[in-house]
Amino acid sequence: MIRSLASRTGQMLLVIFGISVLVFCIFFATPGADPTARIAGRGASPQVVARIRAEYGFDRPLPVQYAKMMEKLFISRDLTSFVNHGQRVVPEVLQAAPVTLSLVLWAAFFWGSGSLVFGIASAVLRDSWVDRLLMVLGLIGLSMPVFWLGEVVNLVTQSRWHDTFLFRWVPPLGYVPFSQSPFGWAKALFLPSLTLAVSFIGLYARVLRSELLTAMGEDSIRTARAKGAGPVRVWLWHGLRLSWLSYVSLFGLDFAQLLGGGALLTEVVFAMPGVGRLTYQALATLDLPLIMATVMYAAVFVVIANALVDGLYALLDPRIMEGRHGR
Amino acid sequence: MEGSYRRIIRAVLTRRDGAFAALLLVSIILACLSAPLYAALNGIDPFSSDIAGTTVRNGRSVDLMQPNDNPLHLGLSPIGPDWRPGPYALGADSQGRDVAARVLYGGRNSLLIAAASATVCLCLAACIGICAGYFGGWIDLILSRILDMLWAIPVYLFAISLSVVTVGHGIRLGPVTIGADNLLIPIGIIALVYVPYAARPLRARALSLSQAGFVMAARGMGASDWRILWREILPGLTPTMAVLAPLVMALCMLAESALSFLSLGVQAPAASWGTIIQDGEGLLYTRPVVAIAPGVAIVLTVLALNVLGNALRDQLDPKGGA
Repeated sequence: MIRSLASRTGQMLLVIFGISVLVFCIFFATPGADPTARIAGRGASPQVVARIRAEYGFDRPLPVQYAKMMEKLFISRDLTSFVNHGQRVVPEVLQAAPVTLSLVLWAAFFWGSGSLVFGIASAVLRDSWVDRLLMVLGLIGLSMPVFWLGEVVNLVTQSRWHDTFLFRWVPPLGYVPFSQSPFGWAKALFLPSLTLAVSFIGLYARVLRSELLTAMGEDSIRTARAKGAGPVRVWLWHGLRLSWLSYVSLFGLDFAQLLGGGALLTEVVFAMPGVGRLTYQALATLDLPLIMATVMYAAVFVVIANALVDGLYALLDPRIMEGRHGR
Repeated sequence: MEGSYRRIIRAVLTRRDGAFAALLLVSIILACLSAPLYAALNGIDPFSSDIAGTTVRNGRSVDLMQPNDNPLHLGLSPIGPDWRPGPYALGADSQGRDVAARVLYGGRNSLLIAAASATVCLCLAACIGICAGYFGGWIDLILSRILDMLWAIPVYLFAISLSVVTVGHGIRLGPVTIGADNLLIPIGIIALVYVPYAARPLRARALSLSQAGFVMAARGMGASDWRILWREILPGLTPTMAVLAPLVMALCMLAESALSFLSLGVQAPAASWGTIIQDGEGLLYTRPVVAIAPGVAIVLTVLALNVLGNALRDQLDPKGGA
C-alpha cells in the first residue's frame, strides 16, 4: 500500500516536472524568437529590455532560465507582467479563481444530475422513441461549439425575449460574488453554467447508458432480479453500483480540465471575470508571463487531480491496487 | 481485404443514420466547394469590404449599410437577410461583405483544416501507438508518460499556448520559414493537441495485436520487425483508425472554430466558420444571422461526423464503446 502510494507520488512529480519543462520551452525557447522582447511587449525601451533580460536570466543558459522562472512562479510568486504595468501575475490568477470555481461547480451540478436522469431514462427505455430522441439530443449537444451556444443564449435571453416573463429575471452579463448576494450569484451563474454543461450532459448520458446496459448483462443483476428486487432497486442500486466507476473517473478528469482553463470560451462569451477570461485578455496584449502562469497552474492542477482520482479509484476498488483486474 | 471494406461501407450507408450523415456531409462539402460559383453568379467579392456598396432588393437598388431603426436614425447597420437566392441572401456583415458567400468560403478553410489536421493527428498517433504497443518496454514507458503529460494540459489551453507563440510571428526552423498566416500553423497545432486522444486506443490495439497468434507465427517464420509492423500490425489497426477518423475530425473542427474565434486560427482576410462567428459577435443583437449561420454549419458538420463515427463503430465492433 505505502510502496504503491510512494511510486504513484513519484510518477506524479515526474509528470509535473516534464510538463513544466514543456510549457517553459513552448513559451521561452521557441526557435527564432527572443523571449525578452515578448515579455517586454511592443515598443519597450532598451532599459526595460535590459532589466528583464537580467531579471529572468535570459543571458544565461536555458536550465538557469528555467529554474529562475519556476522560482518566480511557485516559490517567491512574484512573476510580474510587464505589459500590464507591473501587475503581479500570481495574485491576479488567484483572485480570478473563485469565479471559475463557482462556474464549474454549477456546471458540474447540472451535467451530473442531467446526465444521470437522461442516461438512466434512455437505458431503462432502451430502443424506444424516448431513448432515440435523448441520444440524438445528446449528440447534438456534443456537436455544438460552446461559444456559439453561449452567443445564441445571450441573443435570446438578453435581447430577443428578455422582456417576456421567461427571461425577465436574467441579470446583465457578468459575475456577482457570493459574499455580495448569494441569490444574485446563483442567478448570474445559472445560464453560463448550463451552457457549459450542455455538451457534457450529452457525452455523460451516452456513457452512462452504455455502461448501464453492459452492467445489466452481469450475473449479479440476474441474482438480484431472482431474489425479487424491483426494477427501481435493480437499476438505481445494483446497476449504478456496477457502472459508476468509469463514470466517476471521467467526471473527475473533466472537472479538473474545466477548472484548469477549459471554461475559457464560456467565460469570454458571458463576461465572467475568471481565470479563462484573464488568459483571454492576456492574449490581446500578448502578456506571455500571465498566459504561461495560467497554463502551468492548470496543468499542475490537472495532474494532481488525476492522481487523486486514481487514488480514490484504488481505494474503492481493491482489485486495481493488486493489479489483478486491468481496467 | 478490399471486399470487406466495401462491405462495411455498404453496411454503414444502408443504416438510416449512416446514410443521413453521409448525405449531409457530402452536401455541405459540395456547397462549400461551389463557393466561387455563388460569388461569380452574384458578382460579389467576399474578401474586400464594401461599405458604400449597393444591392438590389425587390427590384430596387438599396444601400448595403442601412440607417438604424432608432428614432434619430443614428448609426448604420448592415442589410439584413431576405432568405431568397441571390446576392446578400443572408445579408451583409459589418464590412458590407456577403455573409452567405463568406460562410461558403469559410467552410472551405474549416473543412480543409479539420480534415488535414485529423489526418496528420492520426498518422502521428499511429506511429506513436505502434511503437509503444509493439515494442513495449522502456519505449512504451517513455511514450506513454509523454502522452500523459500532454493530456494533462487542457486541450484548448495547449492549443492557445502553441498558437500565441506562432501566430503573428510565423515559424523559422533553419531554412524553412512558415508565414504567420499560413494554414499549416493551425493544422499542425490542432493535430498535435489531439495526438494523445487518438494514440491511446491505437496503442492498446497494437499491444493486443502484437500478442496475437498470427504475429507470433510471422515472428517464428523469421519476419523482421519492419515486415511485421507493415504487413501484420498496420492492417490490423485500420479499423480502429477508420472509427477514429470522423470522431477526431469532429474534434478538430470544434478546436479550429474555437481558435479562430479567439483570433488565433485562420487570419483575416481569409475566413473560417470560427472567424465569422467572431465577426458577428458585435452585430449579435442587430444582425444575429451573421453569427448564427456559421454556427449552424459547424453543428451540422460535426453532428454528421459524429453520427458517421458511431455508425462505423457499431458496424466494426458491435459490442464496445459508448
